[in-house]
Amino acid sequence: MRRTIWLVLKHDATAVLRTPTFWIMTFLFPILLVGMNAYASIIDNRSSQAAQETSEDAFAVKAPEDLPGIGLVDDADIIQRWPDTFPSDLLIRYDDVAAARAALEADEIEQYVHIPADYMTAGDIAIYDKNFMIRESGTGMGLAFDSRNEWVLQHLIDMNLVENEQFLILLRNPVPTTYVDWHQLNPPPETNDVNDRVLAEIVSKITPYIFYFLLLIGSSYLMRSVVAEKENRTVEVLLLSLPPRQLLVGKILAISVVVVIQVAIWLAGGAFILKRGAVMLNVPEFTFEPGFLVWAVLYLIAGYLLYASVMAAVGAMANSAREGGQMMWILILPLLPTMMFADMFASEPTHWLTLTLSLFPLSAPSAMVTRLALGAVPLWQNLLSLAGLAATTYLFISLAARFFRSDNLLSSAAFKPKDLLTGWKS
Amino acid sequence: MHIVEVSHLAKRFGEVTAVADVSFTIEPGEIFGLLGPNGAGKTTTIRMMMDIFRPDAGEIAVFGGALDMAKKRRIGYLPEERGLYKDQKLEPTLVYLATLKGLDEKVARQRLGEWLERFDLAEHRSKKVQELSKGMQQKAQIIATLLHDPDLIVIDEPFSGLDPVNTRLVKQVFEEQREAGKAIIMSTHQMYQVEALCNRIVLIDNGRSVLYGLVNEIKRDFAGNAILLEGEGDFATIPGVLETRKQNNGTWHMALELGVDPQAIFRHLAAQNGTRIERFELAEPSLDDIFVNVVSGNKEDS
Repeated sequence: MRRTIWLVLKHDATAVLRTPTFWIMTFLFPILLVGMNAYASIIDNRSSQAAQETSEDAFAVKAPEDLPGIGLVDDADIIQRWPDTFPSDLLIRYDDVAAARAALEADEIEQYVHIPADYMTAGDIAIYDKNFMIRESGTGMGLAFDSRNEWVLQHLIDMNLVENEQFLILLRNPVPTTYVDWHQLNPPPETNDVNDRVLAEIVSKITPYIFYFLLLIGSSYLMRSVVAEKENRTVEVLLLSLPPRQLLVGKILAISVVVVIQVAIWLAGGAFILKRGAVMLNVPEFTFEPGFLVWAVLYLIAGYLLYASVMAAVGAMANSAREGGQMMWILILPLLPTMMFADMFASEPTHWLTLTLSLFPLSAPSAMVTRLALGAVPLWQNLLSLAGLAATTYLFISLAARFFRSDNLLSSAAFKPKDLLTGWKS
Repeated sequence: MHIVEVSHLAKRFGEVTAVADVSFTIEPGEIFGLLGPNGAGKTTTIRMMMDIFRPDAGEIAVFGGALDMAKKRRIGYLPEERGLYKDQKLEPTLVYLATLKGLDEKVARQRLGEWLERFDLAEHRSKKVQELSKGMQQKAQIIATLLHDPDLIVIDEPFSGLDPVNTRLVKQVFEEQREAGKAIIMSTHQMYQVEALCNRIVLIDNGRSVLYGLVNEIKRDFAGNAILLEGEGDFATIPGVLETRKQNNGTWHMALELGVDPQAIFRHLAAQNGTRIERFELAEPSLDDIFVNVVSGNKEDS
């Protein structure tokens, strides 16, 4: 390695490692990521628990507290049964509409419901409110109608129309996932139990984010470093000490050292969390497929070099950090689909979209590593993806070198799209 | 051997001609002034000379030939816009730049200590560059230029931001470098500094060399056929003098007849009884005047 490259590497890596931003990102980002996932899991668990409780005990639900009394004129004789868990004074029956209206006008009740005698054929219910009458409807309640009353009324009608509790459960939730075994046409590799699947899903969601941020952070460090040297005019002094290409190589290597340090910290933290998670859940530890780390490192290096070379070219062309940032966000877009379709990587690993994303060079680093984290990937796909990525990386580095020239680096003119064409031709 | 030899240099950026035809040479042990109005092509010429830009036409020889990386490391460059990492500490920044020039890190630290002491920056070595005053940053930039002991020193507006004390210090440093045999190219708009330091200049205007040579000769060439005189006596009727005029500062300005040698006037005055001469010199214009005359003359021509 040339001495100057080593000096640039040492200088640029130290410069990043000395910034508080780097350490904040290194430690805060994983905490945020894990926190967000944990929060989402807790919310999911609570929702499924509530849904399960409702489904399993459909007749024993509790009425909301502090519910005002509802007047009822039941000309259809629908409401015959009453859950034990409901307060007895929740519904105040009236013999006819006139009596209910009188009670409403006397402020004894806030509203009343009239179930007409032809409800079973017409399906209409009239709701009257103290303040105004909204509408009559066959299915829904008025906007001003207390949604808790709607829930009570719906529940009462349901349980009185359907005598069998199991029927009601099935009517409300015809395909209850908790009782249905899914049999996919293209099933994912079998895991030992439900907890393994949960961990796999977490890994499939987290891996694209980690790769996205690793590539984004690493390459944006590089772009910012190039732009900063342009802005503070240091590049003019540097170009008298070493050729632009050596400067480019030194910078890319420097940020790769930074990325490796960041990855090492995240991997150590990730391993710790997975281990602790396994202990807390009392399940076997989540293990990656053999060779996963080797493949992951290869994809990370190639992916980083690809995006870093792009960002170096962006830095050389951009006139300011702001201008570089705007261009950067456009160029980083190919990494987003992997995050958007993260669920698919766990549920449908052989879907055409999953396959396309893992073979397309710009999305391959995060997509393929996500698949690798979840299970075995056919060797031919792995090799094809990595070969395509390596070829594209080589192409991009060659192109970046065309833009990383003295005239671009010393230019203070704002970037114009035609500059790309000029740089390409040069 | 010339340290730098530039011949008919030309460079265009798209439709703009930055340098049209510039030629000059620089010798060891001289301070050479590269002068010109804003946008004349000075910085582009410097960048081409240092192989940062490739010229479209012309020849450049530095240290006797094309500039390779080994030769580049023998150059110290002080750009007009300061080229230091503002968010980094002074000492590591200067050591980094010196080591990139091939200097051993240990030697760089040792030399840096001496320079920091001399420029009164030792106690600021751990400060970030952006925390230093403008003058301190300029001194730091000068140290970065000289730390690796270059043979060719290129300085663009070296006195920018410096107070009179530090200006004197920096001038003294450049004089020492010249005495040590180093070649210095100085680009500045401060003409009195050029008069004080440079022995030769080139004046570039609209991308072309319009004035080139020894400062004294150029001044003499631009001098009118006149003398300045201070003293006492009868200066009204001197043979060969067209007009005698007393200026506000008490100096006599004498316009001579065409072809009259000023030395003949001096001999005539010296031979007169009752005449006291305290100052006798050719009435040369200042470099500032020459600069303005040439540049404004070029504007009128164009």
